[in-house]
Amino acid sequence: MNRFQNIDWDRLYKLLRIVAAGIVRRTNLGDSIDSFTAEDLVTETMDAFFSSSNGLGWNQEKGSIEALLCGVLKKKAIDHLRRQKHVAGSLDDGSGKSIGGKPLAPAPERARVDVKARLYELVSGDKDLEDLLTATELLSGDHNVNQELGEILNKTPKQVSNLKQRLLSIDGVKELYAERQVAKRRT
Amino acid sequence: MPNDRLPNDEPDMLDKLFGHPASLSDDDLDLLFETVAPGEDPSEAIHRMAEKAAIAYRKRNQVPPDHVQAALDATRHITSLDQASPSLLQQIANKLAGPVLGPVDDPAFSYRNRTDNLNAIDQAVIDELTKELKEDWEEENDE
Repeated sequence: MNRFQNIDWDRLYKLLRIVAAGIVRRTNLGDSIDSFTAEDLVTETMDAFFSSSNGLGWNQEKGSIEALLCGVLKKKAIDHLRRQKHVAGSLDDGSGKSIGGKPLAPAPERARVDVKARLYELVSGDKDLEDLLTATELLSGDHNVNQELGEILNKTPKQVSNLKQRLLSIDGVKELYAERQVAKRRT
Repeated sequence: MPNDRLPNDEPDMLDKLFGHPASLSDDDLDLLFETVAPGEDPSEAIHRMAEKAAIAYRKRNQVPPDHVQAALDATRHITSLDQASPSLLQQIANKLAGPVLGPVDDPAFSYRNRTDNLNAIDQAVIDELTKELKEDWEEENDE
């Protein structure tokens, strides 16, 4: 039996797109650098998989196809950054250098704080969503996120899911989550 | 030594809030996908990439390998059920047989998500009815 027949391709593609969007958001290079997009990363990852005559040697015993391709995708992102490194300096420094007179992204720690600050700013006045963000800060990450948030907030996982849906329906949050894509589309 | 880590690889607040995509429910995955790629069709995207790879294999006089063929078959645009594979027909049947989730007016289904609170007596009545309904369903399933 063909071991690839049971792959849920739609789910796989969605997952890779979301993981790629997260990498691009956290890397936060901004539009000022001729960088990669989440879509580029997914295309390159799937191209590598399809171009390999044995599907990168994947079989179920080695782990899920999602885990394998998420790893490939991450390596593709590192390759992109490494190619820029000779222009931008260390991948880790974020020291305020510039490329062609354009400022580099904020330092990693500052970027992370910015996401948090911007989220709180965007939900300001909505007590339920403010509570959701506060609860997120308390997460241990030990088990199912919605369940853990539900325990903190005294809500069911479904109610937590609905709150997240409400959060993502806020335009600013949507842009923050998919920052790169939105910025690209505007230009 | 090469740097094998992405800068800022630690999860930010949005990552923490939604968890790792691999553990997301289908609903949450759809929600996030719609956020990062609104209007994009995953099947069409996979089919396009698999088709491109298949063409490259054929140009080298090679048969597209199993995984490329599997992707092409699974994402082929179906215009008639006559062309559908048994597994796809099974998926359609399962979806038709499953419960439909959506907004409802009846508080028996939606009061837990309401922002205006019902009083405790109403909630208790609804909880009791929900419990009875669940028991009925379980009995039906047992039969």
